[in-house]
This record gives sequence, structure tokens and C-alpha cells, in this order.
Amino acid sequence: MSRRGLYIHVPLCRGKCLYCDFYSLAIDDTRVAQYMEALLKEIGIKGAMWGGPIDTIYFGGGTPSCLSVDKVAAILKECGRFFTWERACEVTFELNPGTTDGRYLKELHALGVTRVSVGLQTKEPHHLARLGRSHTGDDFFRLMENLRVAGFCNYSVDAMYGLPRQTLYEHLDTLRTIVAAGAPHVSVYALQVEPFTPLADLVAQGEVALPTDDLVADMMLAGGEYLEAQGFLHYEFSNFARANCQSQHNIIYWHNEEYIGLGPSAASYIGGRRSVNVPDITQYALSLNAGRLPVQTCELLTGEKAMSETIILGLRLLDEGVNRGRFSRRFGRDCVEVYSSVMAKLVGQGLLEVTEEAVRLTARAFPLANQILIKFLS
Amino acid sequence: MQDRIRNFCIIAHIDHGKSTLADRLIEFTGTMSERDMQEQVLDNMDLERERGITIKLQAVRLVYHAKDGEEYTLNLIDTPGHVDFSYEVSRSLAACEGALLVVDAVQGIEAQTLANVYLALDSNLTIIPVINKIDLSSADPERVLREIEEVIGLPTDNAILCSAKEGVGIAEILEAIVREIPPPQGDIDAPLQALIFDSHYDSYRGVISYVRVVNGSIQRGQKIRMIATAREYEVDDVGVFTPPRLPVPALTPGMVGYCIAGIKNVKDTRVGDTITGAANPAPRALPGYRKITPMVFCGLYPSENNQYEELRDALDKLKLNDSSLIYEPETSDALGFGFRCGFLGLLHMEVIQERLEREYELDLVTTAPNTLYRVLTTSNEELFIDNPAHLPPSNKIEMMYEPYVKASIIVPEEYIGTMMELCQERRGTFKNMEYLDTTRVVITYELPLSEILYDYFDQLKSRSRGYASLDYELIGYREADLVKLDVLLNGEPVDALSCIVHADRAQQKGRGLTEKLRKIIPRQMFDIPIQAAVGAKIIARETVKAMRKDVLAKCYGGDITRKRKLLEKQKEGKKRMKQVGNVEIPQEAFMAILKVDE
Repeated sequence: MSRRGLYIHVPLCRGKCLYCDFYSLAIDDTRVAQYMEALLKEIGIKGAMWGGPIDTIYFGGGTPSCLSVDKVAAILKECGRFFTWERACEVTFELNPGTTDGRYLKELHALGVTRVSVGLQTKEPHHLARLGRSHTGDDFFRLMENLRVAGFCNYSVDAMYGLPRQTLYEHLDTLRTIVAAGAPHVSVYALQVEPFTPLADLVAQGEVALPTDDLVADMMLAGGEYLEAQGFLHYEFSNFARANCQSQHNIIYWHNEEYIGLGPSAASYIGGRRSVNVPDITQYALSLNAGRLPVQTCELLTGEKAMSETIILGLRLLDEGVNRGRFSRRFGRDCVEVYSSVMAKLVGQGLLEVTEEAVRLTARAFPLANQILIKFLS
Repeated sequence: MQDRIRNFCIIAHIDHGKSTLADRLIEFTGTMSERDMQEQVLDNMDLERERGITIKLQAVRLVYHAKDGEEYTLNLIDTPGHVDFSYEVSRSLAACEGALLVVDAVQGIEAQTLANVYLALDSNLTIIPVINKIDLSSADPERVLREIEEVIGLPTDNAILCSAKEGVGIAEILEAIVREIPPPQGDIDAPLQALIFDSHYDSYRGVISYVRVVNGSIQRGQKIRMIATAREYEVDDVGVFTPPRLPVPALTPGMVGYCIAGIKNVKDTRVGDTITGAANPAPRALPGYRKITPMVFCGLYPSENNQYEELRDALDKLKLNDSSLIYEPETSDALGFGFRCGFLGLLHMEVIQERLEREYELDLVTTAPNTLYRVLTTSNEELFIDNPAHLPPSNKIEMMYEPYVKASIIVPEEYIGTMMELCQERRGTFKNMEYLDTTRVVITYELPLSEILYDYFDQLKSRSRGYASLDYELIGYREADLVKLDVLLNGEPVDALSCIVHADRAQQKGRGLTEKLRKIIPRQMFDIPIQAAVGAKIIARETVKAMRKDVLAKCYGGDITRKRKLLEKQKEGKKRMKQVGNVEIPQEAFMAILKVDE
């Protein structure tokens, strides 16, 4: 049974991190009002088109916790007019340390938010400051305490490595802190220098020196080893979870299943079509006020392209892999047959494992995954 | 009407203002309206305009009303200034009776000017010295005139001072052309003799031959014969260059124009051949050109194998306009099917590569250039080796010889030391040094041609802050202690990376090359040893360490399209690399030897 997710992008932040290339703007009342009005319209249009049962909801950003609780309530209420979800449905909300208090979290919980994703990145204040983030280590501990009090037991913490001048020890220490705080899910990302970000400029000007490729590789491997030793399942390239704590919403992406994206720059994938909203709040609002969907790009993914994406995304799930049964039901062909020569070669090299149920990368293959994924491009 | 024709060319060093002067002459005579003039009409290849050089010779007919009240036809035949193209120069000189010698009023005579003037004097051309750029504050025409008299031995009482940029002296130049350059000789009633000095392939009309009629006449409908090939054709069209082609009823002695005769294959119109009439053929051909042999060779391969046919067609087409280009198919284990191509020099090689890539949209892999080596085997066989991979094993070689050049470097005296140092580093033998004037000298060295191929010209320029100019001519083969340097990647020899080096330099070159390759070859999924070897002996080794991390960390709903595109880009980049065994080699690796620092 294929599932469907709902993603709501909140393009507002208190400040912009130097490495961020997501669409977000500094928060102010006019923008919030403009955003809310347009978003509710978008829910109305997309709800009318694609309403029905959904399996997950995800508030991402930006910083969703910039919105007051009544705004969040209004969004969920409007969604509820078109979409239905079970009480147990995973509803995730991203927030940054230092942006919320205990009361806010309690009210979120009461609204039906079941899971929180915390953007910690690193516990070292000097690295946080260098990345342009405004919180501190203490903010994180206070947040952890408030989450527990508010009744959240399912939450995730983001950690980032490969930061300018970061040591291996500092990275592992951040992971230890997260584990000690009891987080059942950890996302660990290497810092990417995305083009057109302030960080890219700083690197180009020589103001910021990035760690060597070898140190970054050490951080990735040592971090993974540590979390696995602590009982976490390395279930996706960058994600680790305790039993049954995987992110259901993100798994929809990696299964290449359907999702409806709302808000500026959000992507939807439904009916074989991936469309992306304009990454500009003014244009977004203008379109919706004129009764049009604010689509910037749209591509139809059929046949070979859809199969290729299903493999490329599915292989990110290190434990589960690409489910052969689900693939056959969707495309009418066994993936091992479609990619027989590529797969046979990779199996021979010890980089791929093919079983009755699934196709997955071997542990050896994971660090060089791109080299393998590109072989499945159509 | 023959006595009102003047055929001339312009001899100048690069940047001395030849193209600008040509533009002014065209403008002044009203040959083209200003509106139709694109800057530098003669250089109509994009590449020529960008690099400020003339590669292909072109012809323009100017109609000039002289002060004597008569109307003259002046045919300007362009000449390339660069040393690589001396063959093209000799072609244009053969079609002329006179030459403007253009010298920069600031810089004075340069090495290439000298070489071309001597060619012109050999062809008995009347030479009119023109001192250009007199508008510049640092111009010193007096000194330059003295140089011309003392160095070339040319009288300068007829010299003209001009500024092509400002339009000064243009009228005087045109008058001097009419007055000084003799009208063409030739007999209209004699059997046809027309010199083909260039040809050009047009996809609609076939081969267009550029001709200079010496005797007789050529007109539409006439049956003609190519003396060298003995093939006969019927003339479809004859005309002149205004510069656009303008049909005329006939081309008569002294006239320069084009001839179209339904010739499909450029090989059937040899540049330098003579056209005569099929009905009343001339007993002999006009003197042709000094035949020149390409001395610089490299492998050209399509980066994707399916472009092989396209590359061959493109080479065939370029050959139509450039008879000095030679090529034959070759195969390489590393690069697949391609061509070994011969060029006049490095600039010629670069120009051809760029034209193939730009005009024919080919993506090429180029191997490092080498010269033509002469090998005497132990069984007393003589071989000419244009590809290092084909060198016989050392125990089969009795003796090796490499081509040498005599290089003339003109440079201000304060750079004498640095220039000599450079030539010594390149195995040069000092021959001579002469003062041109009180501050500039001509240094003469004998150097192996192969040493000039590797970064020599750039070094010459940078070590002299751009003041040095170079000309060279081949002086034959000399015995040399040479060895083949092989490169092994992951234990496998890569034929396209082999090069021939002097035995004393093998160690140093081997170390430099492996180090350079380590930087160029990207990390892959396993360690890649890079070894340099002479025969069975490994003389240098480096390792490209295995890649340890290549993962796109984040991939969520909003990123999927973008991340897929990143992967596609990565795959595209891999496709551009050459796969040898398990190793992926970027295209630039095949030129790495050129960048090995001494």
C-alpha cells in the first residue's frame, strides 16, 4: 500500500545561517501575514485536487518554530478540511534550540505534533557562531528538558561535521552529547558549501578553511561507528535511529512515494509529476491570490526515469534497500532484471547485495555511494 | 589594363598593425562602405580576430583612383605573420610583385619580420618600408629606419611614416604602391598559366580556387586542366574579391581572383599547382612552392568514440583549406581510434585543435606533441617515428637522431643573460650574437626542435617581459641520446602517455610527470600507483590514494531533482574521462608532460 506525505515549508527564520541555501527570509509580521494568507489558499487548491488520507505531515524550514502556536493550529485546521490522518500519524516539526519555551512545546504537543526535529548541528559555541547560528549549548539542554516535560518521546537531533576548523574529537563529542540527552534519532550531515551562500564566498576569499577530504571521511566513518555501537540503526546515508524511530515522512521520499508540498520552494511529487513552487514569497502570494498554483518547475517522471529514481533513492536506505516486490508491483518488472548487467557487476565487486526481497548497498559501498548510484541513472 | 594592376602583400610582425592598415586601405579606396566594414576585414575567422593573428591568407581587390588620374586595381594578398606559417607566406609572395614591410615605430624589427623580408627578397619583390604607429609618444621612426637599413640592408628613402590607427599616411602608401611596384608581366595571348595560391571549400559550390593569372586568360565555360594531376574541368564561374566574390567575364594576366569549376574534392586542386587550358596547354607549370614537411605531431582522438567519423570528416574539410595539415588513422589502447596529425608548429597545432572544437563542435583528447625522430635500427633500417609508442625497443636501436633548429631571438640587451640561460637549459648550442642597434641584439642558438615544443615560447616571453621575439628554421637531424619514457597506471602501460626524452633528463622528467599526474588524476575507488619507466626500469613512482567518501548527504523531497542533476553531472564528467583498465584518466593528463616544471 503506497503512502502519501504532506510537507509544509515555513520560509522564515530569525537569522540566516551562513551555509544555508534553503529559501528563507528574516521574520516580520507583514511577511507572516502574507505567508499565512497564501498558504491557506494553497491548502484549499491542493486539498481540492488531492485531498484524502495522508500518512505523515512535516513542518520544515526555515524555522517553523518562528510561527506562533495559533498559526500552526490554523494551518493544521485548514489541512483537516481536505486531508484526513490517524491520531497516530507522524507529525514532525523542525525547531532550533533557543527559539521555543516549555509552553510552546506543550501546546504543539496538544495540537497533535508527535515528533520534533532539532537543529543542533554542533555543541561547540564557537563553531555555531562561525556558522551564523544564534543558539548555545545551554539552549540545547533546556530544549531537551522542555521536550520531555511536554511529553515528546520521539525526536531527532541534527549534527553537522566537516565544519571549518572542527576536530574529529569535537564532532564525536557532539554525538555523545546527543546520545546522552536520550535522542532516539540522529541525522548527521557533512557541511556542504552550496553555491551563492555567504559561506561559499568566505571559502572563495580564503577567509574560511575547510577540513581536508580525509578528515571529513574520518568524521563520517567514526561518527557512524560510534552511533551503531550505541545501538542505533544506520538506516539511511545520514540518518540513525533506535528501533521503530525512523522518520516515516522521510522514508516516503526514499521509497519514491507521493507527497504534497506546500509553501514557497516546496516540492510535490504526485501522479508521476514533480513540481516545485517558486522560491519567492511575493510571487508565491501573487500567484495564489490570483487563484493559480505557484509552480516554478514541473517534470514528468515516467518509465525508465521513475525506475532509476526509485533505485537511487531506495539504495539510500542501507538496511531496507530497494524492495523488489514493491518495485515489481509499481513498474511491472523486477528491478534485478531491469538493471541486470549493472547489478551483476556491482555484486561481483562486493558493492551490492541482492536477496529475494531486496537490493541494498554493502557496508563497504556506502562511503562511495555516488560512484554506484550514478550507474543507475537513466 | 594589365599595366594598371598592382599585386602586393603586407609583411609584418604580430601586433605591428597589419590588419588595421589593411582595413584603412580598404576604407580609403571605398572598396567597402564603413557600415559594411567589420573591424579587420581580412581576418574573418573568429579565431584570427580573437588572437589577433592571420592564419589563412585572403585576398582583396581595391579600386584606386591615383593622382595621375588613372584607375588602378590593387590586389592585396594577406600573409600570416607567425613563424609556423612561413609556408603560407611563400604562397602569397609568389602571387605578388611587391610588398609593404610594416614595422612598429616603437618596437622596431622583430625576428619574424626578418624571416619574411628575406623570403620576399628571395622572390624578387619590390619592398616599400612602412613605419607604423608613429602616433605613439614613444615612437622612434628614425631608429627604426636605421635598423631597416643596417640590419636588412634595404634603402629607406622611399619609406613612408604612417599611423594606420589615425589614418595618417594612407594616401602616400597607395601612391607608392602604384609608383614603385611594377605592373604584372604576362602575355594574354600565350597559353593559360594561373597559379593556385589557395583554395577553399564551399558546401554549395565545391572547391573555390584562389588564382593569380600569369599568362593567357580564364573564363566561364572554358575547359581547364590541372598540370600536376592532369585532371580536366569546365569553369563554372570566375571573379574577383571585393572582398565578397564578384563574378567577372574573364581573369587576364596579373589578375587575382577565384575560379570555380565543379571540383568536388579539394585534393584535386593542389595549392601551388598551375591551371592551364585543356585545348592549348602550357608546356610547363609555374614554379611552385618550397615543399614543407610537418615536424610537430600529436594524436587527436574524439573524447567519445562515436565521433570518430565526424573527426575524420572535419579533418578532411580543414585539409581543403590547409594543405600543410597531414593526418593518418592510428589506434591507441588508451584512447581508441583517432589520428596522428602533423603540423607546421605549435601554433598551427593549437589553431587546428581549436578550429576542430569550435567550428566542428568536436570534443577532443590531444596527446602531447612530439617531433619526427629518425631511427637507425640494428638491422640497418631507417625509420621515421612520429609517435613515441612506436619507437622500437632500445636493443633494436643503433642510433637515434632528432631535428634541430636554428633559432634567432631578438631581445633588448638586458635580457641576454636570461635568454642564454633558457637556451642552455634546453640543450642549446650558442652560435652567434649581434647588435641590431645600440640596445637590441640577435642571439642565434641551435636547439633540438623538441625542446621548443615544451613551453619554450611562453618562457621566452615571460623571462623577457614580452620583449623577445623568436624565429626558427630547421637545420636537419643530429644524433642524440634519447630514450622512451613510459607511464604505467595501476601496473598497466598507457601508450598515449609515452614520450621521448633525452637520457640525461629521463629521471627528472619521470619524477615531474608522475607528480603532475598524481595531481591531475582524481581519487578513485582504489589506490592507483603511477610509475614512470625507461625500458624495464622504474625511475619514479607516485600513488593516487583511494577515495574515501563520495556521498550526497542530504536528499529529501525538495532536493531530489537537484541531487539527481548533481549525479548526472558527475556521470557526465566521468564520461569525458578515458578509461584505461580500471583507471579513469582526465583528458588533460595526456598533455601533462608539457607542464612538467624544469
